[in-house]
Amino acid sequence: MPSPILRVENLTRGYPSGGGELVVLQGVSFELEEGSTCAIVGPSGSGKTTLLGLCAGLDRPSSGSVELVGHSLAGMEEDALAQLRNTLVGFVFQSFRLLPTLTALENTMVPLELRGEHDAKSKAQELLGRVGLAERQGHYPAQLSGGEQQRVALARAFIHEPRILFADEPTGNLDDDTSQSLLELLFSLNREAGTTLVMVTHDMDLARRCDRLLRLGAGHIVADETSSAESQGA
Amino acid sequence: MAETPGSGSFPWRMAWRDGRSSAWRLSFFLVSIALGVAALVAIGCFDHNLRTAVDDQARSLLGADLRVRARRAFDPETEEFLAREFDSESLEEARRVSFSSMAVFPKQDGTRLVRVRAVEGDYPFYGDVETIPPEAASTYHHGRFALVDDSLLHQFSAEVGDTVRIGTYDYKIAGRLVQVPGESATRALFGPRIYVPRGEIDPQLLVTGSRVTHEVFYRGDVSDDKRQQRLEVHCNRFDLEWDTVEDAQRRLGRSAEDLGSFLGLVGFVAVLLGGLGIGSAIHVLAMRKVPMAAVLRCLGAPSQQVLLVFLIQAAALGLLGAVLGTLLGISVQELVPWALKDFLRVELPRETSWQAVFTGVGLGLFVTMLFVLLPLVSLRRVPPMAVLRSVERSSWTRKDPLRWGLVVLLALASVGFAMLQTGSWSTGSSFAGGVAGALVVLALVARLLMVGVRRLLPETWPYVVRQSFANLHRPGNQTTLLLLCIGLGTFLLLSVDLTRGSVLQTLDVSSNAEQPNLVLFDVQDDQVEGVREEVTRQGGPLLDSVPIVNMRIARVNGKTTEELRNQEEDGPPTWSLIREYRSTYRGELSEGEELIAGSWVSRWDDEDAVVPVSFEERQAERLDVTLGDTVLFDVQGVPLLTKIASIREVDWRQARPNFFVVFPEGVLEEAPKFHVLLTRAESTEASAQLQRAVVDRFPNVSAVDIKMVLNVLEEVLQRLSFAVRFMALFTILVGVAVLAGAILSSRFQRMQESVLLRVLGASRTQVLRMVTLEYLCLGILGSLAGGLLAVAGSWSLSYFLFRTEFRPDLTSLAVAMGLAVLLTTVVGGLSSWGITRRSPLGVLRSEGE
Repeated sequence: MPSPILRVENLTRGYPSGGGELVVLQGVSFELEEGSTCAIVGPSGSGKTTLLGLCAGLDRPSSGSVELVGHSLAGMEEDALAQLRNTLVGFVFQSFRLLPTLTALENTMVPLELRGEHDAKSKAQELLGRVGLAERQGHYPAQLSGGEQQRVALARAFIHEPRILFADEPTGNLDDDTSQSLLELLFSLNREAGTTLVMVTHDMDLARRCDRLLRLGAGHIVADETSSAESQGA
Repeated sequence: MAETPGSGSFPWRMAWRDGRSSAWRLSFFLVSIALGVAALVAIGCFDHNLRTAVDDQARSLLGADLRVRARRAFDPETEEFLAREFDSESLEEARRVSFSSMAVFPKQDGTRLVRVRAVEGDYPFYGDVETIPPEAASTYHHGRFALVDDSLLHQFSAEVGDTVRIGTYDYKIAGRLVQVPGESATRALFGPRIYVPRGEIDPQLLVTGSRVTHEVFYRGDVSDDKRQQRLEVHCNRFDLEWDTVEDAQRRLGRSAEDLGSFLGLVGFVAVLLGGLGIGSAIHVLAMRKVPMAAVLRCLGAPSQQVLLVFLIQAAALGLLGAVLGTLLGISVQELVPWALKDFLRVELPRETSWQAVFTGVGLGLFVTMLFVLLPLVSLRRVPPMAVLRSVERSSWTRKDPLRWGLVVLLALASVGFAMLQTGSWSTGSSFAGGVAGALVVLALVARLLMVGVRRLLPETWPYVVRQSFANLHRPGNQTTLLLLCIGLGTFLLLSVDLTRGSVLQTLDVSSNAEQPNLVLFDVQDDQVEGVREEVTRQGGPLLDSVPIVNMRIARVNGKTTEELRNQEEDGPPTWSLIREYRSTYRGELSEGEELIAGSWVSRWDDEDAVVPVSFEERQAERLDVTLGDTVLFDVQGVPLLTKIASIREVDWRQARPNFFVVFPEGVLEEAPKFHVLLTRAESTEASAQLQRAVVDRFPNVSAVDIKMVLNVLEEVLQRLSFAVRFMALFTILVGVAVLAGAILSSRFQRMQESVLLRVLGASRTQVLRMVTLEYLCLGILGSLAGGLLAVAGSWSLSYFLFRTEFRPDLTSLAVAMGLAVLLTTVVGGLSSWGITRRSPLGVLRSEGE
């Protein structure tokens, strides 16, 4: 049996609040296999985004551990975590998080340029073509629609061929039609690259397209379901 | 894990891409640092040229290689000594006699006290006397001709070819005197110069009592050490002064250093303000760049690379500003000597100092980096989690030891910079401390304003007013920086004016009906009655008649002046020992004097006993004498032993003769003396008529119109304050650039708020009112704080330096503060121009840019 790409054990995260501590995540544990897709769902304030941030090494837990692609994140320096993200992790955010002063092409190139790779431009152009923005690569984010911005974000997320992709409400700011085409693109790119996908969403239809569904409530996993798609061998 | 990320070229590419769109926002700060560097470079070039000129033109400062000077005619021993030591074929000799006298312009019917310089020989040996016509500088020696100061000819509308009378001699004016080597234009204001040949002076003018300076000049090799030692001994013995080119060079070098220090401080404030401006701009930028830093961190950029992206941008900005500033400084360097031309004694070369250029570029870049590091270093600690949710800023800015280290470095560098500019540890550190104090006061005012507005703003006030005041304490506002700029600008502008006004108002006695405004001096014993008659005939009251006896100190408490001068340390200053004391005698204290120790002796008839005298407080301190000490005076050859019986405090501002030493009646009546008569003329015409009448009858008597002296003083102070204000202009321009830049950097935020307010139903007029009211409030508070600082500063100068009563000119205070308010409101209004005209959609779409 292959080793899990993501292993979370007894994860707890609290924040100081009014002299005490507000615990937003408590004792969460799960494992995820490489190449799988997983949706994290739950009501607002249930700890979804906190869990995503902890899994991706963006934040540090109060207790518990995260092991990502065989690396234990506990005790890693900030810059080592950054290095890990740059090589193994991709991100897609609800509010796109493109750099406003960079063009679509430049935004897409950032992860490869950080590594000092020389063919960043051609790869970025190819990916932008793949997401249907070949003609818009010189445009700045403010000159693109929301759907176009999220497609640039997708290109940026896949350009360095990450082993695992974290997506935080990737369609949360988009209309239905745009959301659908974007999701097709996301799942298609994911399948082609064999990337593991971890996605936070409120959209249950979208969640059900994933192999696995973690349901959070008040900081705990209240349900861990395998989707029907998987059970049907899709 | 794969290979290490972090390309070396990534921060450079990222800095360029990101900088393309945000550079314009920082352009005003680029201007501010450029102006600061321009000031540094222009001042540095001026300083370099001044030092070069002092070195190159040292000979023309003295006009000779050696000068020997006496306050009276050279005695036979000195003449013999000079002949023995300096009479050789290799040395050329010239002589000059200088004294003050009344000059009469008969054709124009005008009189004026002038400084007469009577030259014999080819003096100056070095440097050229500049005259119109040029040949007059040499031809005036050949007869009874005069060279007259240009300003004096202008005053009386006299021309070359007219006549000027000095004493009883008439001289034909051979030329206008434009420039004399080694003398500044301001000097001519105090005593306009008239050059005449030495052999053509009315002998009456050189009578006892007149202050006549005799000088002999030599050209040639005077560097013989042994001869100089003999000269030193001789001069000490006969109370003569001597100096060489090196002495003149050293003296002027010191003045040049002082001027350099002052100008260096102007440059310091300009660059410091520019640094503050750019630091503040980067602070605003850094807050806007937090999301970008978070994304970069999230995508795997190491913290140092994130910091490097913004540091490269700031360094490029600093370098560009420094280079632009250097170019500007080189092109405006001519303005500094132009502003200071009245105070320069040397002709300045026009050279660009490469040292000043490199210092300007280096310091500009250094100051920029120093000020931008503080806001930027926190970007390296932005948590990547900030891409997912807002993280409180203090969580990554607090407990950063690097920030505290930078604060200490900033303080040390400021002191070091001030020291570098002034060349003095104490001046540099105290000035840096003073500037820091002023900045702290202004920052406190800003803080108080923000806290006060937040807590005390009445809810019943109209919405527009409440909103504009609330703008003052919004997050990321520029209130502190704006108040610093406005306050510092007002402070710099006003303190010079207030000090000048205060000094002039204190001295302005001419309108006081009981005070004399015309002083007649050099009145001989046998002329007193005649002058009194003449004054009375012209309708002037005789307010006072003061006898003056010249004397010198021979011994103090038994020690000779030579012994006292040779004391190792803490001895009396040389001038206080060798100067000529002009003492008087009278039976009572005069107005403006107060007895502070001992007892006043009105009359003394015991010829054989030690004479009790009264000393002025500060002169007694200088001579290190007190009650009961003895001072032996040499009263024109007659020794007179005195004992200090009382100490007086003297108000030197009184427009009447004041004295270091006052004798009782009954002692000096028979000594050779002259008199000073004090009177009052009710108008300029009456004063001129009285002076003419007295000078016509008594050519050796001189008159000083106090009103004219005050006018001259006012003009000198005006020229000085112009020069100071001109130099301060650099700083003020930097302040305006920072002001506009600070307003512009918050323009986007204002634009968004304006859009939201308009979407919610506010009219353009309401939005504009809010903006205007906000800047009006800032202008009023900034100018008030700056005005108060200026009042405090000028009071300190008046009290400690000039020791005068502080009388601020409330009109100029109000005008300057009003101007500051107007300027702030106008700059604020102009910088915010158009924020209400942008379409809401355009602004909303460019959010996050």
